Amino acid sequence: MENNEILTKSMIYDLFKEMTKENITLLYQGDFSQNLMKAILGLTEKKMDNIEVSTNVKKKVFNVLVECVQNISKHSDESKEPPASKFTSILMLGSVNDQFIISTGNLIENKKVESFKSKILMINSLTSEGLKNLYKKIIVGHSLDEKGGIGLGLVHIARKTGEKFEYRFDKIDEQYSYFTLKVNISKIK
Amino acid sequence: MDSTGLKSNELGFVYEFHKKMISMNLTLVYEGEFTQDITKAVLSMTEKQMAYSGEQSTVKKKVFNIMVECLQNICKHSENTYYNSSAIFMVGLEEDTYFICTGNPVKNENVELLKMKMQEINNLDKEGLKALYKEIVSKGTISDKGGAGLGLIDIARKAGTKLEYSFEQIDNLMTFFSFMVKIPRSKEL
Amino acid sequence: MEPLFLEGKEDTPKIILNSQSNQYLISGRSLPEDATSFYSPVLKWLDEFSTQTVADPNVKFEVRLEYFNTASSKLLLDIFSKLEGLSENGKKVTVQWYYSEDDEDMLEAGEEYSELVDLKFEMKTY
Repeated sequence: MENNEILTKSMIYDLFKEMTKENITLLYQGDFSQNLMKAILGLTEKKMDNIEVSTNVKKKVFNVLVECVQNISKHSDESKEPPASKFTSILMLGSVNDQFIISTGNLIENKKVESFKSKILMINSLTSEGLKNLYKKIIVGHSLDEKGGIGLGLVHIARKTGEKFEYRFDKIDEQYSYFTLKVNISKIK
Repeated sequence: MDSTGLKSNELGFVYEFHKKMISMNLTLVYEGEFTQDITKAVLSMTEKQMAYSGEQSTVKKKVFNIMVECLQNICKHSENTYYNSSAIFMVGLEEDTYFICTGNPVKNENVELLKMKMQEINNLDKEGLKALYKEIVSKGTISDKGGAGLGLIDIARKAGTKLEYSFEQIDNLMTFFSFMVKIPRSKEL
Repeated sequence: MEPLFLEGKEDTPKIILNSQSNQYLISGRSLPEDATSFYSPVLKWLDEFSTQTVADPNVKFEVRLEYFNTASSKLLLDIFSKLEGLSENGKKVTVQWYYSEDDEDMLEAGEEYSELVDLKFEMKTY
């Protein structure tokens, strides 16, 4: 009872130092229901009230956050067996110099990795005109499921931020990988 | 452009933090300033999370109340000049115990008093805490920063466990104060 | 025809569709996870509306959105497509697309919709 080996009080300071160093303000892992999304948005809004940025930038952050959280809730995979089963999804919010940073991490089945990667690469390769055309094409063209899907969400984020995605896949086991996505949003614009 | 490139390698920290949170059983970590609004938003996140996990309402209420006190303690006792008035707040669930941790810088000169208060509280049993609580409330003795004593006593009474704490000196002026309280989910306390 | 009225919430917009008072409005935030079910009464209402004759054929459809998610963006297009259909029925539809002055993204979103459907769009700041 006395000694919690997993988290001890002395680790609080270490984690604090680490987060200050990495400029992370929020780490959240668990469910990403709509109610939770609302709470996260609430926190982000309050947080941005204390910072001097334009409403335009605030809206961008808000928009990107919604898509990121809904992407997780719709597209992350779940594993029933360890080691991958330990992972729910994570959301990380931070800010470095003149950028807000939103990162997500979640499980994805290995068999989907290639198609995810090529989608991101394709989006990263497009200019703003190209993204606009793709966006229109998706919302007019595809089936209902596709329209709400990761493709559209990512294109939307890319358009809002005008930045390239940073991403990474770490293989966990034979069936699952850990997918990290990082989105930067400029505070000046 | 390659996902194994140098730039995306930096993204490994999301995965690393996620693993760390899992090993520490943490669900939420917030580091930053603690205004009234932000406190409310953080509370709302944890509340929704407990609601989602279907926690029984007596436990939810207890955890919520203790969180409020912990967060208010941060607001009252944190020294604003350090780390951009930053403090840390964490919530975790380990098997049948919720734990709430806070960390913030305090002035060195306040450390002894804080330590004494916690020792005093930890030495008391349930009855003793009740008596002390009543005494302070009726006397209306509010400690210099608005009743640190009362908040801590309240936390100890509600949690029914000993307060855990540690102090690490930052420099000649400041010390980092880490605080942890565990709340068993079982009914009988 | 019965008007449709939905109260605005944190993540869903206020909606007024009232053919008696000739008022048509979507305003606020549209961030539902399941946009299809949220907007289904709106689409249904518009379907019925298309069969009705009205005293004043001028339909001003006001969109005053602060944010919308991608799931909603597709449903907005569906709504505009329904409105497009109304003009075949003799109604004269104008979409009044409101955006806050500094919100270029919202202006652009409105312009894009106007390129995707055959409807008159008026861009207005608020």
